[in-house]
Amino acid sequence: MRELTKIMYVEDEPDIQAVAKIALEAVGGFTVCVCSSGTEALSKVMDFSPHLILLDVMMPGMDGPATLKALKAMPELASVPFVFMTAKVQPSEVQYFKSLGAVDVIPKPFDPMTLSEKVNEIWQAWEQK
Amino acid sequence: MDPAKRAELDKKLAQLREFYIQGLPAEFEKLQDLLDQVSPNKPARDVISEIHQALHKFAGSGGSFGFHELSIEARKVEQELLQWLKTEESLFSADKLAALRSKIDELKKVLSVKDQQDSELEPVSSDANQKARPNELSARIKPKKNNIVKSKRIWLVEDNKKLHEKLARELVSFSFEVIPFDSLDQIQNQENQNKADLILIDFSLLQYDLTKNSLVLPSFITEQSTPFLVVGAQNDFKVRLAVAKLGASGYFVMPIDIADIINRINQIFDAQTALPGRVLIVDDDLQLACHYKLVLESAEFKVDFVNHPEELLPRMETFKPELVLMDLNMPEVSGRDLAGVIRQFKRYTSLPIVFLSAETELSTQLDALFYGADEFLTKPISNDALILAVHARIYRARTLEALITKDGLTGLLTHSNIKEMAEYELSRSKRTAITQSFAMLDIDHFKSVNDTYGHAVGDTVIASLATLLKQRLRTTDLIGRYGGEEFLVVLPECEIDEAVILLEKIRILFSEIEFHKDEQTFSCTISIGVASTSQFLSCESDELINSADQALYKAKRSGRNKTVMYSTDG
Repeated sequence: MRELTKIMYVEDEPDIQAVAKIALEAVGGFTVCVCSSGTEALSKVMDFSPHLILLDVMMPGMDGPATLKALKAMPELASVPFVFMTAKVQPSEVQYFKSLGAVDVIPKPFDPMTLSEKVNEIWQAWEQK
Repeated sequence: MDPAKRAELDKKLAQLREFYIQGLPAEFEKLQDLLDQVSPNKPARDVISEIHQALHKFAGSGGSFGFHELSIEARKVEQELLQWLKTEESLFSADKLAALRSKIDELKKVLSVKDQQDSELEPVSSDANQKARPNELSARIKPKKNNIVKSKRIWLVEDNKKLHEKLARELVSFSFEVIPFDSLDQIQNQENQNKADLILIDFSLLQYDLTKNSLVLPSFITEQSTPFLVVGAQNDFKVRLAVAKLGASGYFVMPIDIADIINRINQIFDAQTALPGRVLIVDDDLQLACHYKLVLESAEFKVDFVNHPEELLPRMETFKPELVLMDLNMPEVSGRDLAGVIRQFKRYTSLPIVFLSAETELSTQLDALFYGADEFLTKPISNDALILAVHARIYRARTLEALITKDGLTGLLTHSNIKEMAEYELSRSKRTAITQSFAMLDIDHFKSVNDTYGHAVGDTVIASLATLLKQRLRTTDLIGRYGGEEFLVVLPECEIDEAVILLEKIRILFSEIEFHKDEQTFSCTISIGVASTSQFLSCESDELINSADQALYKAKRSGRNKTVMYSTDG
């Protein structure tokens, strides 16, 4: 199994960016590339070559699903799992997000102390598939 | 995770939470503005959609910063709006609007309740009846933003006129309020008019009681248990012992090193304003647990207890105790084993665990020590003994933690921390479009101070500047030790000319502080460069730091001991 080290995180809210960065870097020990918009993610994704991408759903401009679609179109990212982070966690909505190609959905608000654990679980499930 | 890392992390998270709280009033104002735009008579889809987004944001962020209720309540309202948005309607009915308004008012209440819980943690609030109402929310939080440390009052009891003047001048330059006296009798005469937070007294003015064969303080001081420091000419053991016996918080030998005294004074005041310690009691005897809780709460500790061992870990997560007080003998699980479980978590390695037990058998206690116990208290224990033991343990744990997480010399943010926080502050200011200023400060000719007077004196100079900055700046300003003698200050919501005025004051105050090495006296100056977001269309924090740095070098080149504003024309 590959080890998860590099995570790209697309989120427009600076507050959440900051807390997630700490949650993933300091608690989880990951290398994190934070992007404030879908466009930024598109421009940085090739250089950073993440193992996993976390996407906020509701963002101005390109929202999460649109970003996912654009990233999915890149053949280089075929082995990269996408995870949505959203305050919407109705089962039907989770189903919808998965149908877009996300492997899982992490509900917001997240607990900074356990976020990394959750991400690791998702990663392991993905790798074992 | 090792405790140092964990402490660092907690500190960062706490700081983020503080920022989040500070931002909330503005977020609520925005929400209120949107709400005011909604009218039952005109199409409202766009505005409702914006309100929905704002609530969605609360729902998604609140819990990550400890506002779980805010998240839950915001979610409910958000879902309702979403339902409406899914319909084809364009008018938002008056009934619906009224309901929405009251729900958003409720949301603010969630926040003000939280706000109050927090304020309970703070040193005794003067007016217990002052309940926060939702519409006072922003008023309650805003004054904190400009909370310049309230000056502490010091009684200076010194009959040597020259020394008195000097001490008074220095103390005032560090923002303390000084009430001068030449003798203790003089105080007695105008008793209690301006109660002291601390007393600084000359050894020669203390009275000696021959019958008790010890020094004595007047009862009006001992009754108030005001902390006091003694200055004296003699540096011998007998004098030191006598002063310690008297209960002084410090003894300083002449010639006085003012920075030493200031540091000690600040330590004393910091400890006074510290938040109450959090104690978690683990005991199967509910009644006894309640008793300990009451005893400790009477001493202003924050106390929680668990009755069943399996509740312990989850409760530790949420309550974050600074000390665990545990019964050694419980029917289900022994305290020894429970301590072992706690110590399995790296982050709890340094958490003090204190056992209460009827056990006086040494071997059982020693055994528990191996499992990570820190101390034993034998039951039955007097209330005072319990309070003292808990207090001492927490105080010591905090002292150690501060040593781990802060820049040792100055207690300020370290280089990497201040850079990171500066970046974060800047991204916040971009969002709110409120000007913020960065300042870079550097002590002039610091190398020659080190060369002439030695590194120990140099360190005193650095620590003094740090203390002055902490006292003069707002609690929301960020101060970091950027390099050896270089400091970076981030001033949120501060126009450049305000920043210059503020920093000029600091520059002048600092130049008035006298430093000592043996019989020599000297003073130091600082040069300051200031840059502000208003000077740029858009900028990154590195750019702003560089601009402040450029201004600083301009200040250095043009003669030092001055404040220079960054300007684009070089």
